[in-house]
Amino acid sequence: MSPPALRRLGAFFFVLFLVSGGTPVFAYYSSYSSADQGRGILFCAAGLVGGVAAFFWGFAQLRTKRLMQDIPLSTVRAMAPGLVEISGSAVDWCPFEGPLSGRKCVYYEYEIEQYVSSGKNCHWETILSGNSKTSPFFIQDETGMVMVAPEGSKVIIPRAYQLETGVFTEVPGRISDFMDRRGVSCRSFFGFEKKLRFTERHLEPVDKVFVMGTCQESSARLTEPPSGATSGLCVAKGLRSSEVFILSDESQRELESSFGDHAFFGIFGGLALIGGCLYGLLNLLGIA
Amino acid sequence: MITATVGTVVAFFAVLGLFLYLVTVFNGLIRLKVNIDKAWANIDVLLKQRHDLVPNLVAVVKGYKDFEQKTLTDLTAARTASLGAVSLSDKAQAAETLTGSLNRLFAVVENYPQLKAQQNFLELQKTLSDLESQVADRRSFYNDTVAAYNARIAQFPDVLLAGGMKLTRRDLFQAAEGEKGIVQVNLAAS
Repeated sequence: MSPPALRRLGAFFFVLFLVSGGTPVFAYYSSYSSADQGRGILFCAAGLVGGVAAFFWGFAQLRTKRLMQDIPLSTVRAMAPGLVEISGSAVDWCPFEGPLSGRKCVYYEYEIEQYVSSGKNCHWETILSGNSKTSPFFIQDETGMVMVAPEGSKVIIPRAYQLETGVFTEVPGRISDFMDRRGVSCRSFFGFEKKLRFTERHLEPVDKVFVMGTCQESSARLTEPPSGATSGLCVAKGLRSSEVFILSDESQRELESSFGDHAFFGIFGGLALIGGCLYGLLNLLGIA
Repeated sequence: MITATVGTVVAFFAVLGLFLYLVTVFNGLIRLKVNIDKAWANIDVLLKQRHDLVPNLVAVVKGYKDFEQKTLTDLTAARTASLGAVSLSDKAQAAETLTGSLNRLFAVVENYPQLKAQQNFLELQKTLSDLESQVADRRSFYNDTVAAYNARIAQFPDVLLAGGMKLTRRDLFQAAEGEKGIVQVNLAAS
């Protein structure tokens, strides 16, 4: 079974669980003690708000999916100002070094989290994060090359690097230097290594890149753009904040499928959550 | 009582969902219609640029007194026909004929080494050739947009709204099959 089909199946069973009364059952058992009842009311209220949010989020995902379907893939040469979808490979032009992986890339984003525990609560807390959204890069297809200004984009790329370190695992020298330069230590007060998690996502040169954004006049004046680049035009975020700008290494079809799954999950899951949580809430509040 | 309340709220959201879905479909259809017009305008602007360049090309070639006159006459006639075309299929046909005439002229120029080496001519040839490639790409994009629109207005549930909005199928930008001719170039003519 393909991953999208599996995702759809998972979402279906989750919705089925909610519809079949997962939340009301939880609410019923919560009504035995007053402490559990208070917690139950809180969970149901949170679920209700979450359900409404998921419902509208699902429609936003559906809108993006349909928008993506309605705009055919364009070649760089055929691009005209307005919303466009292009697909090509990242050009090896002024690449960076990924701050965590050390790999050559044209775009990166990273996050360094620390494991924090206090009493019963424990969670990962972000202590350092960043990306290279202010630095443009180029993509090319068989008809030309165009600049992409990633600022303001929604980047959908898989994790390319992840590492967890703890008391017995040392942080690699390159990463500890990087953290030191930013004034963050990887050691605790007593000199022990902190429990840290390092995550990096990046696009390497020659990676396939799909871009859905607004083709517009480029305001950036590069001193040495790569030869063959379309002059004067770039793909960037549109003037309105609601305009879609997606950057991904997945294909258009994969993204459409993924947005479709999110829409299904959000709309039907949200609806089921609203029903289930409302039922539980009314039961717990004793409104008959 | 609880079941009725929950049922009412869920039904409210279901109706709201249906309404939002219809709004999404409606907006999508309008967007597709606008996209087609925009894609066409993007081709039209290139075709106009090409029309504007043809007189310059003719002027450069006319400088050579012994240049095959028929080629120039055909090119001028093709440009005039292209400017006068109104319907999409006529425009497609005229654009095809103009491309054929230009290709024929460039082929005939092979017999005139001095003209071929002239800077003005080379620049015009390159510009026209680039425009031709761009037109081809944008034509393909236009046809993809039209195909997406035609498919959408025929699919359920969009077909229900498309009928009410009086949306009809749009034509692709292509010359009629019978009208596409291979350009015959007689290199021995001059």
